[in-house]
Amino acid sequence: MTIQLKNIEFSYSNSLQKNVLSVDDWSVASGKKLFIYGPSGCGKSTLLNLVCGIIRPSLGSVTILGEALNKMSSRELDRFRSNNIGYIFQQFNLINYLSAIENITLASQFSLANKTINIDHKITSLLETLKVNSEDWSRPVNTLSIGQQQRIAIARAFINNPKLLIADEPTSSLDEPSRDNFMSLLTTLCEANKTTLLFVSHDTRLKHHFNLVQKFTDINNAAGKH
Amino acid sequence: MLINLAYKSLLHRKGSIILTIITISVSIIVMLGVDHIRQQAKLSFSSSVSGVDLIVGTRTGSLNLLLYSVFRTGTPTNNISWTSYERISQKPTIHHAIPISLGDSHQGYRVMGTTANYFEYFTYSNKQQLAFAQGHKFEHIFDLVLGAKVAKTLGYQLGDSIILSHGIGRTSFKNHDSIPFNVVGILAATGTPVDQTLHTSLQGLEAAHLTKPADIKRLTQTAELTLSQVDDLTPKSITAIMLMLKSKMAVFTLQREINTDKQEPLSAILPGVALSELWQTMAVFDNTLHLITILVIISSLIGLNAMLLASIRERMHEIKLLRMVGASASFVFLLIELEAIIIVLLSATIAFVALSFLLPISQTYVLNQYGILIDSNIISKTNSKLMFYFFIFTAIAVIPSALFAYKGARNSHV
Repeated sequence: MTIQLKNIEFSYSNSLQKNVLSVDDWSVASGKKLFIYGPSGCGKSTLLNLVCGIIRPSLGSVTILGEALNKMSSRELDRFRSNNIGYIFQQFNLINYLSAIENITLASQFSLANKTINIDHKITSLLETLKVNSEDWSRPVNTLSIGQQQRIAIARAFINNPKLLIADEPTSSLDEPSRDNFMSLLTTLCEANKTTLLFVSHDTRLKHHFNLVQKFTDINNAAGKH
Repeated sequence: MLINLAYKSLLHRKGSIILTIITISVSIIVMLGVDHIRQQAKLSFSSSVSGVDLIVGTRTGSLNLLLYSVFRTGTPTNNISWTSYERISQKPTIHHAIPISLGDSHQGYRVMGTTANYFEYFTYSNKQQLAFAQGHKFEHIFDLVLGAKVAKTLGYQLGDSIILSHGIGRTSFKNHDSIPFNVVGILAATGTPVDQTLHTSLQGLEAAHLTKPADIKRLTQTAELTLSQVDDLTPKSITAIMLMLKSKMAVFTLQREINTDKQEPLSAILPGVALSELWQTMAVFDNTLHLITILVIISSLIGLNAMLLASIRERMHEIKLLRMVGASASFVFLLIELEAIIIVLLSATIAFVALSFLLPISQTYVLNQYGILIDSNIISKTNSKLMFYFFIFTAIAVIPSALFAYKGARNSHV
């Protein structure tokens, strides 16, 4: 199992409602490509934050890749995240004043995974696979198109060979051709690296790229009750 | 990685960063400049006299005696007799005794009568002797040697003829019209009150005060009289004596002897002690400069903090990203600290470069206007120490900003 959530209760301390998230038992097997859909603001991002340990549940246990996140110190969590989990968000995935190469290098430097191998070669081959023009590699990313930026974000997410990739509405700021291009590159890379993909979106048109589809309200018992 | 990231992020925000750097540079220039001038003024002040072990005058306070004998301000309460001078100068522990006589002036600058030995034995600063920029010491009765500033501001040259005034006002009503003095020497600038003094022989001063027309006529008609030829002009009294001893060990014994002199009420002071006493009376001035320096530092650091704090609000997203790629919250804390240090480092460099251009330019002006000789070398031990403290204060001062970023980083949600 890549992800295992048991008896999770979560609420933000400054929130009036009782629970944002309430999950009895939810797990994702390794190597799966899971698509979770649901309307915006229903707590999908909260679930992702729990999975990567950025927030801790009020109750219950989160186990990722066999490790219980509850038992880790924040320093251990930082390390665990950079070694095992990749992320792609809706936008602003990159530090805008750094170039593509610098952004990817930065991500690799926080991880233990790349200490021995030739990182520069790995970065170039990733960027080539993701069809980023080589003349754009050294330019600050804020001068590039959103489509290019999202593809660089994929490269950044894959540089540390994550076992789990979390994608939070990464296609919502893309137009249709770039979206299809993005989805096929993402899923191909996940298959090639045997990376478990956890993809969250409100756009059900993307369903066909995945081998597992879940409705968010089926996972979260708290959703819809408020 | 940390340094590269800090550097790139500063470069990205160069507009506001450059303004901040300019602000801090100006603060550092003020901080170092004010402190440098303060130190140099103190140094210049305490180097007004050196090598003189005791100054003897009439019974008076030590500050008063110091003020009129060394700084040529204020007025002597009384003179001391020539016989006392002779008596003291013959004491076995004395290496040399220089009599000085004050009371006349020229265009507001004091005239000091002394012996030719003054130019050999008087030392200032680090036991430096007086040097002649032009000419030589006085040999004849109406010869005059000018301090550097007197010659410069009044535009006198060798061979010029000068009338002295009685008393010390700039506009004296009584001039020694009948007896003109000749400029035979001009001293090199020292940055001490010597620059503002006109030096002549004791005999010359005595002659200027003669009232009988016959005597004056005799002297002025034979103006080439050398000092040894006018024994009858030996003064009755002088203002003070500067004493150099054979051994410093005798200073206190001699001071007590002079202070308890039975024949005339005298007082002897140690110039070094009196100088530091005098500097202490200027503690307010000293403290004010200190306060200015501290306020400048505080305001610049608050400015730096404000700039960083504002930037962090804009950069919350960047901080979240760093967290997502695995940066710890302490990395974010260090990043902000490092950015602040880089800003101050750049500012310090600019300030040092600016000061090393500014000081040589202002050197002549300050010497002419205030009589303070400032060293153009800004890199000193105290300044390095000041800069070191400045860096430490910076690191401490940006802790609020860095903590704000750290907290933001810890609580960042996707």
